[in-house]
Parts: sequence; structure tokens; C-alpha cells
Amino acid sequence: MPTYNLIILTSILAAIFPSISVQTARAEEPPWKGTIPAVYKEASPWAPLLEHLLAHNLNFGALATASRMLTFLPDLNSKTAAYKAAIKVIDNGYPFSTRKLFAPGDIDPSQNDYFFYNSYNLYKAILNKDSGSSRWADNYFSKIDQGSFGKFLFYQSIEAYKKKNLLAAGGFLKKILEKETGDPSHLQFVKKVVRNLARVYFEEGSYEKSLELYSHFLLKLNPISSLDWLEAAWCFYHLKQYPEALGALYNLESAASYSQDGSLDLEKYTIRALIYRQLCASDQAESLIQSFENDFGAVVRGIKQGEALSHYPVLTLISTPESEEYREIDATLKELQLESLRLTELSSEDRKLVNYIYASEIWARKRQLRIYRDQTIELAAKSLISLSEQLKFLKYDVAREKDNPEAVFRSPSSVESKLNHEPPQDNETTYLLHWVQLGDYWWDERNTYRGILENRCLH
Amino acid sequence: MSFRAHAEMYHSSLLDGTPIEAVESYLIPKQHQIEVGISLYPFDPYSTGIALDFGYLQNITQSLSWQIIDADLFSSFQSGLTSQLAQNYSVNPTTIEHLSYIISTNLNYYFFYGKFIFFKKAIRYIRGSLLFGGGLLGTSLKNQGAGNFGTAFEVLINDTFSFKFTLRDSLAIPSFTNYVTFALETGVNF
Repeated sequence: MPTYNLIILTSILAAIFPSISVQTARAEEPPWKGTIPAVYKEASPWAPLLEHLLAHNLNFGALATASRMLTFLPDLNSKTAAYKAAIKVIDNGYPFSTRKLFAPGDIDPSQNDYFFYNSYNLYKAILNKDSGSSRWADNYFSKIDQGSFGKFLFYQSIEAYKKKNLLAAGGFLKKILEKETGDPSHLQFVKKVVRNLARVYFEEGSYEKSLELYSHFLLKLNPISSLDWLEAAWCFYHLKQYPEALGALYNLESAASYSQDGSLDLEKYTIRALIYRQLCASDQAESLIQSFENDFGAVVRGIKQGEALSHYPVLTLISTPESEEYREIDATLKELQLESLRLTELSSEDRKLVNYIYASEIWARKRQLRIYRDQTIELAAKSLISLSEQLKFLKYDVAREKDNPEAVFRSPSSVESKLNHEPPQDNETTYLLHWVQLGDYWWDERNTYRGILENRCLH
Repeated sequence: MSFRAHAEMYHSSLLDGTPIEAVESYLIPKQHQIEVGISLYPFDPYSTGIALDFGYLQNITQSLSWQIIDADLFSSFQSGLTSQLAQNYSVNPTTIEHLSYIISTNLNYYFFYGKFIFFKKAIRYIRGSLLFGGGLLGTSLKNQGAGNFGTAFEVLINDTFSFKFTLRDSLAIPSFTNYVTFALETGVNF
């Protein structure tokens, strides 16, 4: 009986104080000092630091600094400097949403600074619109040069895209590109515009046009976003250029592709599976299943057996549409950590404040990651299980496709006309070399890869 | 997790068992090439020959080019042996034969194409050829016919400029003397 009593008592205590063990663990960490050091309450060191961070391309740190300035410093000059810096970081290609930053904005920017004036009003307008304050939103929208301000046209294209008005969405994007002067400082913005236009074309079913934008612009930039390879692979797939689609996907296996943000996109398995089904490539389908098994087999089995998801850190790397916020925090943390290694480039006057900003920001991001981690790995586990189940049926799908009368009795000529994937031929001015790949990923070859795979559906 | 990227380097890289190839347009120099460079004839014990080298070449196909004319005009620098012969045995240096010129026409057959990374920065293309041809070869004492055999390696900077290293043996006929020369040339293509 005393044993039962002890168990019951322990259970009651555990129910009442569930966080005892957690708090004990946390007590070992150094205490977090939430108060800003008094010396940094002065506005004077912040604005110069912000400039120096931007000058050294420490963009994530600059954005964190701007955010702190908006929180800590009440004077308008500091706020204006912070917003200007934030907008510059966005224009430099900051990939995540910065809306929260504009929520407390109460400045009245000068019209003389065209880009800042229009950008600030646009962000405030969008923020107000999203929060349902349409009157405020209209007020801010009315201040914008709606006819020719590129970011506003971009916003309009997104709104049109959301409403499935692809023609209008494409029209706005083309208008932006017509106005672009080729200024290198606009490259990041132009990149966004072109990528969105490629997506609009894709949605329209104009895969050739979409592919042209990837092939002639997005995939010629350095560094290439691995997402662009994936999207180009989809275009190739829809154009039935399967060898090229495999080539584009092959880029995703390179170390350079992995190191970009460290995340894993399971979509690449899906496209490969679809290609093998289209070509009745049963050996490749089995290989794909095996490759998936090698990469994720243990994780999938663990999930199915009900093991704690936290045992599988790879789940945090899997990118799902719902894990955007986690990805953002994770990427920001990594970038801040990388940038923190370069702080010695700054002067000794900046060093103390910047060290404080980076240390506290990294600390905060780590804690944010913990909050989002469980939800993220749960979503990743679901995606993984779903893909694992789909791949199980792949073998049967491929086998069925082999006996699909439509595929089997298709005349070779009709297939050739549809499959525009014959290797390009030599001629008098072009000498083509076929370099068999050895896994060393030369940068000049990355857009020329092809998988050597024949259509095996035809008997 | 097993990510293949570098682990299987130097083995054929497969994506789900599918071999992957890069289909690349090789840089082909323009049709006409003017060559300017320096040749060296180092194997004569009595003198070292250094020549100004001029040539004109036409790229005929991807694997064949015709060096319509190649002229090397040599200056000879006497070696210690010539001085010793003059001093100790009263040999008149002008009676010692040295190479004066080689004028020839040659065919190049390109047997090798490749590329390399220069100082981890630039990717450059290279092609190698076997050359054979004939022409005239003159020494300080006589003029003869010559048969040429050799090999050349050409680094293409772009389709207009290239650098070429040539190793050539000119076999003088009828004396059957071998004249092995090295040449370093710049090619300007147009």
C-alpha cells in the first residue's frame, strides 16, 4: 500500500508542477539579462553602427540593429535611420517578411527620398490592410507613386496572383521589368520579379516561357537558388524533357546546393518518381526507393513505431510549406552566427555594442527555435510518412504504366515528336562534349546536365 | 543520411542508377589564326638557336586544322664548345653548321579536348593535336627539305586568344638530321 500511495502522490505532484524538471534544467543556463545596458540607451552609437554594418554587408545584423533601435530609441532620427536600413536590407535580398518591424512606425518620411518614401508607405499600407485597417491602408496607399513605383507594381501582381488573375499578375511584372534600368543594386528585386513571372507562366501552362526565364536568367546567377533548379525541373517535366529534368535535379545533390540554407526539399523525390513512372523506368524507381530508404528509412520506421520525434534531428531540416517560420528563424540564426565571425572587421568603437546585439539576438533566436521546433518536426514527420507511402506505390505504378495500352501502342514517331529531349547535335559551329559526371560538380556544367535515360514504355 | 556529393568522386555519378552527363558546347576558336611566338632549338652542342616564330593557321573541322605556313627564323648563340674548338683546335666557327630557319606547312589532328581550373578560379579549355607536315629547313651551310612531326597543346582563353606549346621534330632530308624545337606561341583568332 505505501508504494501505491507514493506513486499516487508523485503523479499528483507531477500534475500540479509539470515544469519542475524543465525549470531545474533551465536554472543551469546563465541568466538572461533582459535590460539593455544603460550606455546603449543613448542614440549616438546606433546610427553609425548601422551604417558600418550595411557597409560590411552584415545584413542580418543590420536588421537586428534596426529592430532594436525601433524598440529602444524614441527619437525620430533614429527611427528614420532604422527604417532606411531595414528597407536597404530588404532591397539587398533579405528573404523573409519584415512586416512586424513596420508595425510601430510613426515617422513621416520626406518625399525627396523617392525610394524610402514610397517603400515605407507601401509597407505600412500592406500592414494596415492585413490587419483590417483599410482606412489607414488607403491613406498610405494614396501616398505611393502607384503608376511606376516597382514595389507597388510587384504588390499588385501578388494580389492579382492570389485572385488567380494570372494575366494581370504577369502584366504588372512585365511592366516592372520594362522600367528596370539594369542598375546592379536592383538585382535582388529583379530576381524576385523574374521568379514570380516564371511562376505565373508556369501556372498558365506556358512552360517554355517559364523555362526560358529560369534558363536565361535565374540559373545564370551566382549563387543559384536551389529552388530555381527545382522549379526548372518541373518545367522540364511538363515539357516532357525528362533527361533535362533529371539533370536539373542532379544539381540538388551537390554540396553547394545543400549548404545554401541546410534545408531538405522532399519535392525532388516526387519529381523523380513521376519521371520514372512516365518512362516506365522500373530499375530507377527501385533505386529511388532505395535511396529514400537509405536517407530516411530509419526515421520513417522510428516515426511509425512511435519514437519521440526529437530523436531525429533530420526532421528539422525538412522543408514544408507550414514550417516557413521555423525556417526563417533557423536561417536567420545561422546567418547571424556566420556574420558574428566577421565582427572583427568593425572598429573597436562599434565592437562592444555590436557584440551585445549579436549575442542577444542569437540567444533570442535559439529560444524561438525551441518554441517552433516541435510543431516543425511534427509537420516534417507527416510529410515524410506521406512521401514514404507514395513511394511504396511507385513500383506498382511503373509496372502498370509499362502495360498501359496508351503507352505501349504509341507509335515511336509520335513519342519522338513529344519528347523534345534528343541530345543536341554537333554542327559546324558547335562541338558538343559529353562529360560523364564523376560527382565533382563543375560550375560551368551545372546547367547542362542530362540524365541518360530512355523511354522504356515502348515495346 | 548519405549525401553523395563528394564521397563517390571519380566514379561515375548516378542519380537513382541513371548516369548523368554534362552536354557542353566546346569553345571553338574562330576559323583563322595568326600565330606569333618564340622557338627554341636547344639540342645543338655548338650553339643554341632562338627564333621568332610566325604562322597562319586555318581551323578546318573540329578535329583538323591546317597550319598553312609556319616560319621560324633562328639566331644562334655559340656554346662554350664552339669557343673551345676555336681556341684549342683553331676551328673556324663559321664552318660549324647551325640552324637558320624552318619554313613549313602542317596539318594538326586534334586528338584530345579538355579543361582545367586555373588557380581555383578560372576554367580554361585545352586541346591537344598531333602535327605532321613538310617544308624547307636551312642551316648556315645548306638548304634542305624537311618532314615535320610533333605535338601541340593549346590553351584557349576565349574564341579569340590562345596560347600554344609545340614540340616538333623536323627531319632534314636528305641528311636525315633531327632538329627538335620547342615553340611557345600566342594565337589570335578571327
